Amino acid sequence: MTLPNAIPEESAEELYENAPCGYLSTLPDGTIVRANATFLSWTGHGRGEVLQRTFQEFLTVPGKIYYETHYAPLLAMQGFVREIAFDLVRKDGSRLPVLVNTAQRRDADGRHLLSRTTLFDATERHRYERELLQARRRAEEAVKIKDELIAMIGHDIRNPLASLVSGLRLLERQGLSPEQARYVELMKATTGYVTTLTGNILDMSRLEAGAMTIESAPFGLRDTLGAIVRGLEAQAFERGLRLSLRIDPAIPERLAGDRVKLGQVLVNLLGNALKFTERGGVELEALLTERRGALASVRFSVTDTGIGIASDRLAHVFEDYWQAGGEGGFARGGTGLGLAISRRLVELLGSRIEVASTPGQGSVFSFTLGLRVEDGQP
Amino acid sequence: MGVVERHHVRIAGQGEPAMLFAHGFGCDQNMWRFVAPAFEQDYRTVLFDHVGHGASDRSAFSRSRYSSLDGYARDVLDICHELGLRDAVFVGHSVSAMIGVLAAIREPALFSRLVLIGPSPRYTNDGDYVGGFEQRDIEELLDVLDDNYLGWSANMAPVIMGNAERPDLGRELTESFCRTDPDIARHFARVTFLSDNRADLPKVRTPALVLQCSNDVIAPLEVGSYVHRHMPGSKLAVMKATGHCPNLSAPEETIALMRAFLAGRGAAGGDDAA
Repeated sequence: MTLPNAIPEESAEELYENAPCGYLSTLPDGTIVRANATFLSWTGHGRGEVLQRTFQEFLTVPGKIYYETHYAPLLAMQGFVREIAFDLVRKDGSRLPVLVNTAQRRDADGRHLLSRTTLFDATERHRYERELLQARRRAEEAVKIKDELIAMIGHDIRNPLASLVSGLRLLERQGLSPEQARYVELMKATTGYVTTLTGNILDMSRLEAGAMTIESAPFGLRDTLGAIVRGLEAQAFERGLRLSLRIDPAIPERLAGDRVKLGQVLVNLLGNALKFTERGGVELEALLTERRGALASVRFSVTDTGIGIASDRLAHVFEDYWQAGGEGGFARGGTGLGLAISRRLVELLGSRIEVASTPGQGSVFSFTLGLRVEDGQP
Repeated sequence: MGVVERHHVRIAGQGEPAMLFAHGFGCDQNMWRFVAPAFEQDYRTVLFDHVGHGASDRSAFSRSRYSSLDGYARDVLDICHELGLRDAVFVGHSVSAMIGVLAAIREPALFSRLVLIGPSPRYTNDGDYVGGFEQRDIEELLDVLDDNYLGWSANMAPVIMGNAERPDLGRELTESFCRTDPDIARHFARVTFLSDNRADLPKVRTPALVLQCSNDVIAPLEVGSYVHRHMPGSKLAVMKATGHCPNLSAPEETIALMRAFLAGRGAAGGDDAA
């Protein structure tokens, strides 16, 4: 690189005085013995008003505390400080946020003679950092409020709900008229719905907090799946839908895994499928895809003939509070948390839920779990 | 985790009794580096970090235990018990001066002398009492802490450096002297600067030396003389050193005054409390 022939002249003194940052030389106690013109113009003070006063005098009261408790000790110990944020108080009382760097100048015996300080105008950076900080505070506050709400759901809603459910069970046995029985049925359905909803919210918060753990115990897959399907038969019957179960005969009788979480996911998927299917049916299938030693890979799939999901929305179905039909919101019941919870539970079980769908024809939700074979077969 | 690890206790020197050094707000045990070695000939020097500072165990922090200076005083007693100290010389800087006062009131047998550097029993003004600050100043101090990378460093340094591939650069910022956990520092600032231990001063029975700097904004001369007047048998020495940290800015003067006091020669340039 070649320099231009005529470099504009500039003395070191000119550079010092008019550099785009403030320069100060101070004695060890902070007394200013030299200040450049930039510092003077920033603070609005004349040179005579600055020299022989201490740097601390140009700080706010809390700035003075910070100077004595952080800046001065750090400078004394390490010989320099970097990027300390202070507010300078101008002559008119207004404040200028600055970032301060200081290095000590020592004599041959290591004695601290002077400090050299540069000050950078940090107005913009300061504003930005304050915004970030406030955003963080608001986020922390929001998390706190959410945690309190979750705790409230856990205690103040679930407990009275439980007494409501048992009250309804007792009422049912009182020899009700058909009309009364219908009202009780309605109340049971509603309390059941609220119970599921609060359960989902609690599950979601436990999952988010990483407080959900995996249990592994032996169980019979056929019994488990049979019970799940039987539990949903009434719902399918009411909606005039076929509900079927297919289990690959090659699947070993006893497996080990987290039966409860598997059940939760399948109930969620089947419940969803029933909710979004108008005619036809829903099928749960378990297929042995691989058997290696004592490990069996079982693919679970829930297939429906429902409304389906458009391809551009397929990627979003596992997001929190998402529901088919978009703006329809809560019209079909549920919190929109079911799939999000299922996805996280399956991830916790070490797999992923996949979805394939054709609008108007139906959807398939599936995942494959590795389960330990318990029946002693090699 | 034991007390020694909790406070990153460092022992040096020989002789009895022990000399226990307690750092103030904004620092860690590094701040004794120019003073403590001078006493290693005649004393067993014990340095430690308050929880949340320096290399202490941050997980030991609890808002309830440290909701007042009393929790910090209990830490001092824990350290004394753990090391089996008796008749120790307690040297406390800034807020730790009051922490030492509280510890000595609780268990006088553990301490033979108190050296209080820049003590203040109350930092905010109250009626006729001049502490030097208003409550508003202390609230604003928390903003200043937030503004500074020192307070932010544990979280922010790597971000500020913007260089995840070279974490050593981030470490340079965070592993300097006076590391503090930002949240704990905020808490400690509040507990320190809103404390009021004026009523405790007359309860002290341990001979104490008050080292008062000239021109100290944190603990002005009025405050130092208040401490001296209200603490029976205390001595006050007004130092030539300015600022709030004579242990760093004027270690020779600090050491000389401490030696004179410990040798029973009173406080040079000072006087006895009535």
